[in-house]
Amino acid sequence: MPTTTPALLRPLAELGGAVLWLVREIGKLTLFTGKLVQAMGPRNFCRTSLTEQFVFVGVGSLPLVLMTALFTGGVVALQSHHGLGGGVLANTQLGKLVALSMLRELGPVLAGLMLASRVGAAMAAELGTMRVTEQIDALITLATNPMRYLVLPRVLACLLMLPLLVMLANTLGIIGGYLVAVQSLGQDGQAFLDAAFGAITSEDLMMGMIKAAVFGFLVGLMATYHGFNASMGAAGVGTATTRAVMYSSVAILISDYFITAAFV
Amino acid sequence: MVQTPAPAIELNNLHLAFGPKVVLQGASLSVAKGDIQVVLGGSGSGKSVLLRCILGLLQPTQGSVKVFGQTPDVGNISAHAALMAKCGMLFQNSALFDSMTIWENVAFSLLQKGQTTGQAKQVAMEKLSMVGLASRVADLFPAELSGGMKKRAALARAICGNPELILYDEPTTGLDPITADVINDLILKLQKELKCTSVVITHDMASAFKLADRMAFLYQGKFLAEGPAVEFEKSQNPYVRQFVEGRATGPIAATL
Repeated sequence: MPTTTPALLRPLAELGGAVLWLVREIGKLTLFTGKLVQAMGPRNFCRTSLTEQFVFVGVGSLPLVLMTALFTGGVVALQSHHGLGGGVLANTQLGKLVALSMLRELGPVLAGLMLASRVGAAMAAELGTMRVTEQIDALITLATNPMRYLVLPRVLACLLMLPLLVMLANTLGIIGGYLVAVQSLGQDGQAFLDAAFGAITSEDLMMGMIKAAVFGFLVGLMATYHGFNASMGAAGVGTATTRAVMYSSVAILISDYFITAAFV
Repeated sequence: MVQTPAPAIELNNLHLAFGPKVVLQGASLSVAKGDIQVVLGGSGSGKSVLLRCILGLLQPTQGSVKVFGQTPDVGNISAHAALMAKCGMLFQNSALFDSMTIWENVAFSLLQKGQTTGQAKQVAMEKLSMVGLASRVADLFPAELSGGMKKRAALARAICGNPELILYDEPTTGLDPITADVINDLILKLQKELKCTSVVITHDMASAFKLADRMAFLYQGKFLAEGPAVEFEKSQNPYVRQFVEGRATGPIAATL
């Protein structure tokens, strides 16, 4: 006989349901990651698939990531100049602000979010469609491990390509800041570059690269996990795609806080 | 004393439920090597779930599945892959990889095993010819093919590794009667040429009587009747009779 929850306890029951759902999802994601690790091994790489994914994630994302970085660098220069009052202080600090903002924070986070929206959505939709049209089941019946063939190349491509994208994004961000500082704000270009490169430490570079690798892994993992577990036809693929972008974005922002906290 | 050969498939008391929905409740069936076993049943009777259990894509909550004496389990990756190398599967909607050409679909397992493109393509062309597809189809993508051609291409993929067991999930569904009969003829031809065991899931009675050596009727998650096709046609079981005759009235309640 079905039991009804008293009205007063309903919020508590809903909270309990949400906690249970969260615990279940974390458990499933952990198992999925375990299977991913199990699928790794030097003889197990599908080189064609890996190369395709490197091109799709790396080369394909370049215009979007670089464009974002270029304009972000410009905006940081404009905002900082305004915030610093536009005097001598702005002249000496602008390069430093743009460089550190890009390297430590904006480069990895924005490139990660761009990757989530472009690559994460595409991967989740592709794997989701393969799931609901039984193509993943077909792979299994053809004696192929879908974790090795589909998931591993995608996660690896995100993990390895995002740091490279972030390096280029950081460079473009500084160039964007330089162009705005020199062309629009009339600042001395050499002073901007001296301030920018004088401020960068190996710790800044390392933090940026660690963030990029972690964000890349999270985007790849969330996209493949949600796509791989899609169900219920076209609507299910839509839901998987939305979740992949949403959860990878949230995961990027949460992990960003913890990585930053570990360095400062 | 003559020993009975071990069956190709042995399903013993399978139970499976998805949440509150019970799909299989005590399904048992034995498929002899070399037979075409047709499994009949209405929509939602658990036929496709049964196939998934045979392939190890689903694990029953109770009971056991043996395919060539082994328990199929996707968790055991290498053992499962070795078992799948002996099996071929024709999915209801073909399930061709839409990012690959037809020949790449057919030769997929060969390419994964490390065969050269030339060798794999040659085998794929032979298999496409076996299922009656012209060589010009080889370089097309699945989206460019009709439903019947997709079924043939999927069948070519299923037989590419010369399987000992072929599973067909509603092979004639969605096809016109003539194309459906062509597919039936193809199944019989492949059975003869490959000397394999076949399990055909269907609710198409014309197809079932044309193909079957033995038939089994699945209703509400268990087999109500099983036997040679000739006996099945004359069965007095009211459930089987209603299904075979396609009547709306009888013990099986039609659900819309």
